[in-house]
Amino acid sequence: MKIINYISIFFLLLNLSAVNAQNASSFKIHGTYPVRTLTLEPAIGLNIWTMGDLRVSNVVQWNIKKRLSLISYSAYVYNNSMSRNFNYIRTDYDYTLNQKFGVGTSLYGRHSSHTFSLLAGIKYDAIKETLVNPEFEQVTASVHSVSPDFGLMYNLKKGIGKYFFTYRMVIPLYPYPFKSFDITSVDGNLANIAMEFGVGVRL
Amino acid sequence: MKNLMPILLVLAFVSCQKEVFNPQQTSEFSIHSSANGADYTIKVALPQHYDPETNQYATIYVLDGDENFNFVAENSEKISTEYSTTNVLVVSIGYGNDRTVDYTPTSATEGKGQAEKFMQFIQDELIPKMETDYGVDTARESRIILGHSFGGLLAAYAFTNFNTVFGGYLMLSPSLWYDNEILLRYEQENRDINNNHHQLVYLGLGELEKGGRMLAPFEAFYHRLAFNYPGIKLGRHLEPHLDHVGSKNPNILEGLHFYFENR
Repeated sequence: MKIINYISIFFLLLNLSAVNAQNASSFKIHGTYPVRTLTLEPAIGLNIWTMGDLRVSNVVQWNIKKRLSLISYSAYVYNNSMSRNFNYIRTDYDYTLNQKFGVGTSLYGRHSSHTFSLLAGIKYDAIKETLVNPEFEQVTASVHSVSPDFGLMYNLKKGIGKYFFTYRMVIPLYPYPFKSFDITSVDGNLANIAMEFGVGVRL
Repeated sequence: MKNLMPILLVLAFVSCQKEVFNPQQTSEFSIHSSANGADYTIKVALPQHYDPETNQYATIYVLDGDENFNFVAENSEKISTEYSTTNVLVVSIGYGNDRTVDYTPTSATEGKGQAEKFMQFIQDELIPKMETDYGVDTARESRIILGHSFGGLLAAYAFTNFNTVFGGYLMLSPSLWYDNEILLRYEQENRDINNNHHQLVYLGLGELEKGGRMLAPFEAFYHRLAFNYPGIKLGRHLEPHLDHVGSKNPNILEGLHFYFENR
């Protein structure tokens, strides 16, 4: 049942993006929303499934045409911020670095734009824990893992000035279905669904 | 996005289809436990050409059986064929109590601590019934327990505190953090008795199990087994790029391979 719940939420989130797309497509293009060649969009956020994973990220969007963009997405994630000393298990570090590149298409409203993009890149995870229970020997263990990373991103830009509000949602497509077609692996996707907010600048 | 949705839905639907083990090779019964008063549904997957008169079959007891039975039974048959060896009987133990009751050794925030009674049920009621009704091998080495998460914790508890019951242990992402690593204390207390036995232990984890609790106690337990149990066949595997739930099935496969290769 838990898996079915995960799936339902996964597709609910996908659908929310689709609904946004449908709403956006009904906007009339008045030609007033500024389309600049390059935007920088730093943001902060969290992984919504775990809530304890805090993210700092940046998007660089290069609009090569009005409806076609090349996108770079970079993120640092400070994982497990809420529980770094649990039952005598100390988290020495636990973080993730992402670098993805992709293409996107944008829909424009009067005061906002909506960009949908498909991203691919790599993810580096580093975890180190130490057992510090005084009853037992101290044991330290670590994992350093590089994996492929794929994802869908929805990016809202609101505001027509040089600086604008930016919101984005990133939905990973790894490990499911790229590494594993086993539906239980979707747990790894859900854990990394991210919501981010920030202020962007048009260059 | 609109075009992508039907494809994703179809993919999700296809991948949600549960493998169901051949019903003609499956039997089922209920058993009331006098140890803890609960009723358990037991499913048994029989090997092809099952004949207890001519073969002594080993048994794999699967915890969280409602979720794991079909996957273990299907793959046990495939892997035993791959190794050209006799398959086992896969015995699925359904939920009689909540898993936080039956699988936890002590009462703590996350569980009620009735594992001792549950193990008594397995030892004194379920195993004798399997031996009587299905003619399975009665040797300790022919009994294996498989569990994930709290199920892995129970498998570890069976290793430390009921070591005469099972000879093989497939512990997948065991919750060894439970109650300030109480299992490490049990291991220490019972080491001198248990390390004289032959053991087959597979320890599996997802490489990206986060939450600040899985990795360090897993390594501590692994090192203790590696350095203090001369008669042990010990396997350790971190499933790349997967987390707690995602690593379960790949680790079941690794664990079954380890068992059939080393038994």
